[in-house]
Amino acid sequence: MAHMYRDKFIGSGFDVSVISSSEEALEKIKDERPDLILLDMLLPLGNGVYFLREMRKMADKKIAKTPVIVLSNYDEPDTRKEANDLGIKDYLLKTDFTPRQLVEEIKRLYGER
Amino acid sequence: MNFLFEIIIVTLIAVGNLVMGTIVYLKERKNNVNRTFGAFAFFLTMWIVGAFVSELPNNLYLSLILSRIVYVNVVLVSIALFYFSIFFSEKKLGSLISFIIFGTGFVLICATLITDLIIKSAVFQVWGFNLVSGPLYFSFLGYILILAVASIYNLFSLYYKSAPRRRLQLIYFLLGFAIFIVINVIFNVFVRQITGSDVYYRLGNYSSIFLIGFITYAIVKKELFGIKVILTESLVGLVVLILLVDLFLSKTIQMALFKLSILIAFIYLGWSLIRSVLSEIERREKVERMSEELRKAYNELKKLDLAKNEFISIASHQLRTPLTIIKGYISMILEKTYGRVPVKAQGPLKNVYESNERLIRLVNDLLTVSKIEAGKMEVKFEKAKVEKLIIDLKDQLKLKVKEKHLYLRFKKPKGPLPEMLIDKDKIRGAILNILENAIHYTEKGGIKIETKVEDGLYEIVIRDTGAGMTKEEISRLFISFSRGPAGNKMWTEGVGLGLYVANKYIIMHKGKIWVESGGKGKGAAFHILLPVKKYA
Repeated sequence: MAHMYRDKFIGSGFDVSVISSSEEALEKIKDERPDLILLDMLLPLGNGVYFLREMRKMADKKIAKTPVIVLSNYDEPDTRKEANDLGIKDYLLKTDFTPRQLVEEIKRLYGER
Repeated sequence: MNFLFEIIIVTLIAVGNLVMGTIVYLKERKNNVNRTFGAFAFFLTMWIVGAFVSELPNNLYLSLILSRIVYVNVVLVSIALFYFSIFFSEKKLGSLISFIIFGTGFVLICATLITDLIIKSAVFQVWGFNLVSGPLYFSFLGYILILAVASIYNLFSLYYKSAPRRRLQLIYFLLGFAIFIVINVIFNVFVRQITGSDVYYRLGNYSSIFLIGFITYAIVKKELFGIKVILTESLVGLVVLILLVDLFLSKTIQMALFKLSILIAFIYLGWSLIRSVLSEIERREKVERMSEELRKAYNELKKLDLAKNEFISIASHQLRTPLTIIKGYISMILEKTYGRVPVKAQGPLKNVYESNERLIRLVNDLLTVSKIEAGKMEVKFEKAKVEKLIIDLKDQLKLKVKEKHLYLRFKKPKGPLPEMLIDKDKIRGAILNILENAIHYTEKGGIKIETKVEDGLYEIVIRDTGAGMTKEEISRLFISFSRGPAGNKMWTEGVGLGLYVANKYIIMHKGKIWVESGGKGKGAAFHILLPVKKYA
């Protein structure tokens, strides 16, 4: 599924890195310094909330404040609340969007910044 | 005081104290709390008996020796009480402090027994004898006082940190001490003032039965509900004791008989009172046990509920993942991301896409229902215009309606309608579910939407020219699949849980939803009412 989204985003002019675990992501954001993170909630080695919490604690304030949009099919009220408390821009369900609609939604949300 | 009477009282109290001390000791012989309490009860009894016996001989020297033994017991009582308080409050005592306490105690005991430093001599008085204090008498008093204050401090310093049962035990201890002290003050101070004699002063000592009784009860009894019954029993016992004393002091047989009848009547009434308090306590204990069982059952259910919700969340995720992939790739194929699609294949691909969308909705509804039923659905109110939501939905459904050759019209109200405080997503979801249901069941004609405000209520009416419903079908329409009758036609036809969810969303807004239909083939009209004033 990640490849499907990656192809669509690249086709729409984005630079995309796909990372499959929260630990790896916490390392990579230090070098890649992304403009936006699309985060799933169910990840191997620590879930999305863990990643968010660790990222927000990072010493480099610019990285710690990177905008995050949750994109997941896991939808549980407590998890959603925790993610919201950690300052996400939105919590999107993958099934609600086709890849094209998702690109448009991300452009809209990112444009709001 | 009547001599025989006092012998009976002293014997009863001594036996009572010793029995209680032994019961506590035997209950847990290896426990230091029980051991020290046993010692405390024993030395206290020796003190009381000694004080009584020391009055008996007509020999001043013998009375002096017996009084010295009583003083030794006072030291031992203080040490036992202090160590009881240490073990009960689970405190640790340094070996130096223990050495000082025992060392000083030993010195004082020796000084009492073999020197005149504590008690110098005994002198005759009308009622018996008086003791003359020695030069170290106040050191002796100081030692006793320090240990008594330290013991009470040890017991009650932990009150606020203690578990409820331990607190209740401490309350019992406190009550025992309080009764002991109050009765001592009454007999040693007030009665002495009134009668001008020391004749009754030993009655103060006899109240130790309450002290020992309360502590024994608190240590031995598992359930400590009976504070009421203990107090009632104590009060009844005290009055019986006073009536008994009064009876022995009667001057004529007639008076004695009269007092005896009062005593018997009081014992009967007192017994009834105690029994009624006991039955009340039994009832309370039963209620307490039942509420404890209920609490456990509730916690068990809560755990099961959590597990169920977590399972549904994970299962929904697992179900959605392949559906998302199908949705994504089919949409990209239809958008020609992977090249041209043969015209013949476009129709079937759209069918796959639509079926997949229905499955997605079903999974979403399933999750929504589980959230609603778990009480986890939150409502986030914000200012919004319902017309705007309807216009957006009309846009969203344009293609679907066109494909079925139906119409979808929105008859806008004449005047402007108020902005309302609503949960946009939920109201949008409710209207969307009703519209999709209408499109699904309409083959010819179309759907009309109207809105109006009347009497502070915002009404949305969605009318279709579809299949219509019988009265029986209407009555089952908004019921959850789990609560509806088995084999409900609506579920087998694949409408899903949309209407049930729509109903719940409207109820969350304190609104109302209902449907009207002339019968089969006569279309249907869904009405939604939302209160305006309340949220505007």
